[in-house]
Amino acid sequence: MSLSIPRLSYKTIGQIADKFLDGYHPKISLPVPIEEIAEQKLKIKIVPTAKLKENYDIDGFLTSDLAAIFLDLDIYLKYENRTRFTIAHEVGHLILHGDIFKKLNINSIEKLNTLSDKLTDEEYGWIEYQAYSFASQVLVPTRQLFGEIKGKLGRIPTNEMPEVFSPIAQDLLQVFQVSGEVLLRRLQKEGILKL
Amino acid sequence: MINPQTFSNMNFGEFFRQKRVNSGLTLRTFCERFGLDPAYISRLETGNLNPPKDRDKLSSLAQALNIREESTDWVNFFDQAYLAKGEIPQDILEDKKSSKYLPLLFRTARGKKLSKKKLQELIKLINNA
Repeated sequence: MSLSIPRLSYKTIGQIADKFLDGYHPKISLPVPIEEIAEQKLKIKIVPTAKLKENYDIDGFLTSDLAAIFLDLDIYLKYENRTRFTIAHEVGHLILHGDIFKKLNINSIEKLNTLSDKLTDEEYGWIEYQAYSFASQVLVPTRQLFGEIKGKLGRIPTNEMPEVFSPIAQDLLQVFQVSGEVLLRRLQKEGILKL
Repeated sequence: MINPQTFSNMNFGEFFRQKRVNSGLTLRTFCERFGLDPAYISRLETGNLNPPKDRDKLSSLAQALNIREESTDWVNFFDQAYLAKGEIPQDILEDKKSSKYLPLLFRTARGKKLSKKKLQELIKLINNA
């Protein structure tokens, strides 16, 4: 079983994220309604399930038939932004890696175990990095991020210290409905913030 | 009488989910609006839980789905709910459920894979969720 995980750059993943938004959420209202997109447009079942976090350290996962996203129930009920990110992350797997996994046709526990054995830590790291990058760029789209910052600061800073963003950080978090960590990474990756 | 066009290849859970999605509500917004437990509704939709036996509870759910009383959908909703209650022998049901869901890629805090033992446990959990 060979996976041939493509090494996609952050920028390339950003282009895929933009294309995804063009297709599934062209009006780009904010925050991006990822749960709605997953259920209504992608026809993915959302299945909140107890004890995923407590017993398995799992926030959520995509099923092998690519048809459902399981989410930890406690996180789903208490932390909406975190859940939004998990859904976007799993949608990222579907968009970026769906074809690879479709071909593998993981329909039994044996095949799943084989996949788990064959998938190296490096490949797994790539897969996770790409899904993370996709999720953050879908929930904080570049154009909208720049637009919000320019609207609030009157300019787009370059490599600024985090303090510059203190007055508008809460507003941005409110607009995009993501965690501070996701927002900071986005600002850093766009060359706006120096960490 | 069950309308074959509405219910061809569709069980109670699938019908429930289709009505909810068609009403434009996500699982979260649907449950918030009607004070329902998302885990409970999700289990109904995935067929891991039988519909409630109580007719009043079923009526409340039908109303939440915006199914008009005495409409064809209303009658079908109840017919399908009754059909879902134990007509399939438990052993066949268990067999069918055993590989219904397999986890593929996880989002964990540490970004690590699960051990085989944990994976087996997880498969059992989600197929009985």
